[in-house]
Amino acid sequence: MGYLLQHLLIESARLSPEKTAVVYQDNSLSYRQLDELSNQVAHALVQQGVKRGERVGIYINKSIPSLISIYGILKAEAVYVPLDPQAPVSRLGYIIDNCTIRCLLTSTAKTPVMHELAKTTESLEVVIFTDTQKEVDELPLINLLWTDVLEMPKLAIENVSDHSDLAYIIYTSGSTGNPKGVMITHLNSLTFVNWAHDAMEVQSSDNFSSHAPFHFDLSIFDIYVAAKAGGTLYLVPETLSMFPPRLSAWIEQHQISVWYSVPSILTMMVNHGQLDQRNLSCLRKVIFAGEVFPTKFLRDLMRLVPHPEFFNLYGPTETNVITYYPVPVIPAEQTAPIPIGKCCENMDVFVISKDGVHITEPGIEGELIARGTCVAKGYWGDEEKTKKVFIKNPLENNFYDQAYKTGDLVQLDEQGNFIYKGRIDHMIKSRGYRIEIGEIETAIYSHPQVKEVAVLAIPDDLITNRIKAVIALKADSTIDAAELRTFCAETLPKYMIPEIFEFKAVLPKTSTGKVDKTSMLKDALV
Amino acid sequence: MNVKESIKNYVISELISDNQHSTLSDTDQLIESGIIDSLGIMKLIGFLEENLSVQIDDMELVPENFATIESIATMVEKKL
Repeated sequence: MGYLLQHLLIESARLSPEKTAVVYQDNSLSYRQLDELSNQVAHALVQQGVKRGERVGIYINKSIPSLISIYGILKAEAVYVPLDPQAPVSRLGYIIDNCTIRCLLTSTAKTPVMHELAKTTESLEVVIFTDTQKEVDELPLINLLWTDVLEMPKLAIENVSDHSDLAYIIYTSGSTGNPKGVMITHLNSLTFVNWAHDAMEVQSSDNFSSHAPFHFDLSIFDIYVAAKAGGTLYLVPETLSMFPPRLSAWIEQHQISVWYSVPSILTMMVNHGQLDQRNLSCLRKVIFAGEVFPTKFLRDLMRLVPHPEFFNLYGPTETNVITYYPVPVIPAEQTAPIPIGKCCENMDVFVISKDGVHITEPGIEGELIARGTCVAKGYWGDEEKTKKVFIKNPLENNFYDQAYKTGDLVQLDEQGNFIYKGRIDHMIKSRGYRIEIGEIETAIYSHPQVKEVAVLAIPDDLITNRIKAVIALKADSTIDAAELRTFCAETLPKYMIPEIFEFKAVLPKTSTGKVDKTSMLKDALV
Repeated sequence: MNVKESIKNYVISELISDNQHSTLSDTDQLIESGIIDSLGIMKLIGFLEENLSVQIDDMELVPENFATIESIATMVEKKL
């Protein structure tokens, strides 16, 4: 048996059983309780026939039961698939059938959607309700209530999993219209977790924030680094992120010492969070990742909250974090974005030019390639896409060594830091989410009255990019923006729905007859 | 169009993306039901500031002011 993610919890529960492991609003669990409850979930899953390597879904608004479910699934030697609690039914259904989720943990609040999923998916057989509600509107599946789970033994299950087994699958936007599942092993994840634990010098006395949703890979730091340190994890209530003054007050109230999120939430706090009225001396580390932090807002943040150390982390879901940059004082006149920094100590990255040449000189642009134990196994059930980006290390001739093409263009600066320059394809970032333009276009094209569509990413200071769709309709068509927005919401998550819809008789074309996005983007920026 | 109506129209046409809320009442819970989320609230504030020419102070960024169409309208009307 290898060393696995759940051992971080088991070890902390052994060392400090009564220490608070997780807090959400008025509820909390000690490490012992979290360990025992997740054992009970594991027993319930095994009793339902869940086998090593089987995918088990989690469809719960972020809360303590989501965390219990995560560990319960891992302890059953299974693979957890965190579903976006706000995703449209068709997208949830796609993911459930794509990785054949037979068993799913949910809450009674999700019952209406679960009824639809029970009807429309092929693989679902068992559902476990994770809240204590007595009255449950039963689904046409095998229904297990939380009271059933609580009758299970609290003792750990013997297991034989290896660290090369999958731990979780995170779905991200896919260019051809459907999301793709990134397969992460225990070793992949622990490579990052062990590095982050040491590099961020976290301690058992730390209070960790958990801001990112569990279907977003920023959550891996929060969940497992906190568990490894034996610290306390504070789940940020979803509605708090909407109200920056409340969020900053929450950080003060709970004495959060390690904060990790996308930059846009920190920018919102800089602009609207009344930071000058808070005492945030509790913060030791402020860590951000997922998108470029606009330099002026980062400088403001570091002025308003001067005590902590600030870190910019970088890495795609396929590798988790691979480079980091401890942010020094930013000069008043600097507008250029800060670097993404240097490679994490136990990983390896390098830059390859368009012609396949290994770049080691500063100032020359190329694609960032990652290798080592951080590199994911590939995309679930999609050999073609996997082969495109999970490649044989081009610098190694003598044996097979897997590497991952990030698709990110970078160059080195004089200090040996990587600078992010952009993408080689049509993927964009918005609020830290990666979005394939093609997935949005595919969704809009599937409307019978749409003749042509071009989706544009309009650069934005606060959220990296705003999404605009320019559309030419078929003759006699009468649909409007509101209708198309509703149509998109049937298949796309909220953050992928265009903010602006513009209608044109025809889309502008280049001399070769291609849709001219460059000219449309120019118009959009005026 | 009065303030309440224009806020309601904005919420229905720009923030609601499923068909379940086409009959939104002035007292329907916007935050609890997920109609306004962290993406939506900044859009809504932008709309209020641009189209209704009011300034929303940081102090006013609290759930009570954004709970329903009615509470948003009350907050805005105080400023007009």
